[in-house]
Amino acid sequence: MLLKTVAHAVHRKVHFTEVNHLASLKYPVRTRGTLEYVKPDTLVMTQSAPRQAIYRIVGDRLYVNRTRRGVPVSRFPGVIALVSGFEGLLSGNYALLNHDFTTRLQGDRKAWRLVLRPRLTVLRKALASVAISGHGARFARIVTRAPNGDRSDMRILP
Amino acid sequence: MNTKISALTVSVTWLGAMAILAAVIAGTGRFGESLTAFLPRSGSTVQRALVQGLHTGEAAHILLLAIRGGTGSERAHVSRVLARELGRDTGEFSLVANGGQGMAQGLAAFVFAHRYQLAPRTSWTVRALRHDLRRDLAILESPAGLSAGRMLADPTGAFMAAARPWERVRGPRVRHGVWVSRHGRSALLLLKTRASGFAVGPQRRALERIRTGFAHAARGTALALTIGGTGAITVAANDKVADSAKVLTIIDLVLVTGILGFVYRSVPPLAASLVPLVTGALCATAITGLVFGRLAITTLGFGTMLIGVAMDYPTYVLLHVRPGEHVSRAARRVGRALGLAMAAMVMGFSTMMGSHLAGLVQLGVFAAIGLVAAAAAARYILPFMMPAWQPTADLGAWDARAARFSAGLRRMRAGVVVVALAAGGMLWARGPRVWDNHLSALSPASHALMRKTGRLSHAFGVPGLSSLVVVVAADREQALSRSAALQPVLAGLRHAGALGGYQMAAQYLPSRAVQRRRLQALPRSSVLRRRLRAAAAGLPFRRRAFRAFITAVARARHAPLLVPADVPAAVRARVDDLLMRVHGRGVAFVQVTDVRKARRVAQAIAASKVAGVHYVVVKRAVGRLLARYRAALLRHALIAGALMAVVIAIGLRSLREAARLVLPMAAAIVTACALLVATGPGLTLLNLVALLLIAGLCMGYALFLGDNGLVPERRGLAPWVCAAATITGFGVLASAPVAMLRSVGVTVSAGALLALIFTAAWSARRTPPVAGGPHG
Repeated sequence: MLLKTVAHAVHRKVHFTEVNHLASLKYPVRTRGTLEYVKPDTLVMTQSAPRQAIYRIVGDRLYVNRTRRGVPVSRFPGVIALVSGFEGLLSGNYALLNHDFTTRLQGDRKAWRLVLRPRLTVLRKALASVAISGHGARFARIVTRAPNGDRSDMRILP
Repeated sequence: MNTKISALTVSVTWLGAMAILAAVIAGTGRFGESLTAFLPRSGSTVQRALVQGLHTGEAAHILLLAIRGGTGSERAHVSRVLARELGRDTGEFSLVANGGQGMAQGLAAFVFAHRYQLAPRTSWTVRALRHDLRRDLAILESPAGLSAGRMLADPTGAFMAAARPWERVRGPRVRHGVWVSRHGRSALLLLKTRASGFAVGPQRRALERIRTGFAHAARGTALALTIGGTGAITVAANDKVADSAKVLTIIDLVLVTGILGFVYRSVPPLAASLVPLVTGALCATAITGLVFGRLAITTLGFGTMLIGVAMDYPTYVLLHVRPGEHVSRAARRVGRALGLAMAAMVMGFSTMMGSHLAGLVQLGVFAAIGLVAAAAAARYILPFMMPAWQPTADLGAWDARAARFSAGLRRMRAGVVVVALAAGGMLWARGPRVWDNHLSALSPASHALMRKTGRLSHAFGVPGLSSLVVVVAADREQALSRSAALQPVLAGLRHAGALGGYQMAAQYLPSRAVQRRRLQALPRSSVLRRRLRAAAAGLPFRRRAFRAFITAVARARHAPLLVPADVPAAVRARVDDLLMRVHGRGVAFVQVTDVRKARRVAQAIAASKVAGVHYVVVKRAVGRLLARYRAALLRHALIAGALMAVVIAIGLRSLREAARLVLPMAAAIVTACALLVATGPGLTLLNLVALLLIAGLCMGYALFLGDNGLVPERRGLAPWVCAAATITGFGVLASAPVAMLRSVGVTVSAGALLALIFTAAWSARRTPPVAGGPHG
């Protein structure tokens, strides 16, 4: 029911800010930009800081800026989680989510939290969990954790 | 009573002998794929490599599956279940992929472990490193950053560079976690069978396995499965030929039995009519198989067709049985004529044994053995199976009719000459255009299925085998390094849009020299550490993040060089397909896909000056092989014709009689050719073989129609009966839905009709039908 509510709501561009805490860098990476989901399988992330970049994820391929040759998303488990989360939630396709992840939904319609954990070992090596939380039909926050302690905290601006 | 018992003994003995022969064939007979028959015995390495590549190459092993109908998630679910189920059957399939998997098992670890040997990089300067580090930072700051935790273990991206050739550059799209077609209306799977796509039995088993697996997975849904690929084409073509052959054989049997039944009016002669052909075919198959070890399917098909003339032998024997006479006496009377016809054909075909084409040698041996055995059976076995058989029908009226008709035709000799000359002139004017060079003319496969496979291959980005670069060298290592030398040329061509892409073993496994060069370029740990510090100046990397990288480079500097056997088993086939040993020499294949400017590619490759390189357009090369086989067959057919004429002249002891016999035969064949060329796309190898059969049939007609003194108390009706049976039999084949069968049917039925008319016009004398003593 909740998924349906979300699915109906989002077909517009949303603004986000993201903080990535990475073990290999001396300080966290702060990014911001917009996210847009285009049915059926395209997710466009436009970064305006720290650098101008457009990432298009179409199906299983990631296209950076205007390049025509994409790379398989499978190389980036974090991106898979992001795409699956968005696609699954926005298309109301719970089965899709359940294929790749174990899912746990907490809270009620007003304030909810969906936690995804990868099922496949390949994914688990690079991704510990994705927690998506929101209010009603709106995403508020996506927290992604990697097994090595790396963490991304993305906030969707109202 | 006594004769009955001995007849029974002969029949049973014969049946026993045939059963033994059949057992010999079943026990020892190995039937080869047809293409190898077109190979010259002393063929070049390139040709051999080509044939080997066609039969064992990756393309021949791939089956493409499309699941249609239902909803997207239903299709995805069935795709997953099917992939899981078929993936378990490792005996049948070496690869089952539906897009749900990443790189093949063990491959990623292999590529990562040996990335510095496999990746094409030799520059380790501060500048190059800084360039890499900037790129790494950009990735870390992108949405993929979180997944790139291990990125600094490989900051130069060697793994990605090394893995690139192994990934399908243009795989299908993925929906619901599985491959789908461009419009997303069907889910796609790619399978690789262990058996070659040209092996009917294993392919049928694999298809059966897929269909039951699908039926199981898709139970309760409205999904449908389409299967494409070489194996699917092979099996479908085989089934189609078998199916239409089954129906047509029944129609044939009914009609031919009707004709012969009308002539004999009893059952035993009908059954006995098959004795010579069966004897000939079984003897020839068994002996040829034993002699050559491996019998090409083409030989079997063509050879059986050539000895089809044996169907006429019993007719000639039985129609000459006079009331109150033993069948063996009649056999003795026609024996000389049959023997001469047979000897002429055998002499003719024996010229093929000297050919340099393996297939032709086999064909010559097969036909010679088959004809000798068939004629011997007609002369010495058949009569003793039914020694006391008596003709029951009074065919006097038909004898008279045949004689009248022959006499009528005799008056039209001038017409025959005109027709034959016109036909010859037409063939002359057409020149080489009389040949149909389309390979599909010889293939029984349906065009619809081939198109479907083409579409599926396109959806998958599987390279169609359209052109190849074949690199021949002393050994595989040398072939590998030579093919690698072509890489810049091919890259340039791809950049210029002359071709879509290329695949070579050197991309997967560099030659030892290249590997050595790459490893030698790796800096020492202290040097690397220093350069890395300089390169990372001003960038926010933590120094300890590079620890794994420095260790890996240090280890790689002393790593042993890779050989093909080091490649993980799951993907070794791809390297083995592209790098082979053929006749003690090393051969590397470069698969070139989507060639748009063939001439430019050929010129660039020739200009590359790499030794031992051959650019091969597969269709054209195979066409050339076929054309050579055809030319050789034609040459041998002409020699055979001349030799037949000589044998007949000796047998008849008269040049005039021989000319009377051979010229109408030649005229009939020329006219039949002209007719085929005028009405169809042109002549193929099959037509040529069919025309050889006509020569044999025609010889029989001529010997029994003319007063050449060879057959005492000759019966003019016999050739008409033979021709009626042949024309009916092959006429039915002319209505077959398979182009190959149709072509044979039309050729033989039209040719037999022309042969009969022409020989009748030339040899008929106004003699009483069943009379006349021996002439000198």
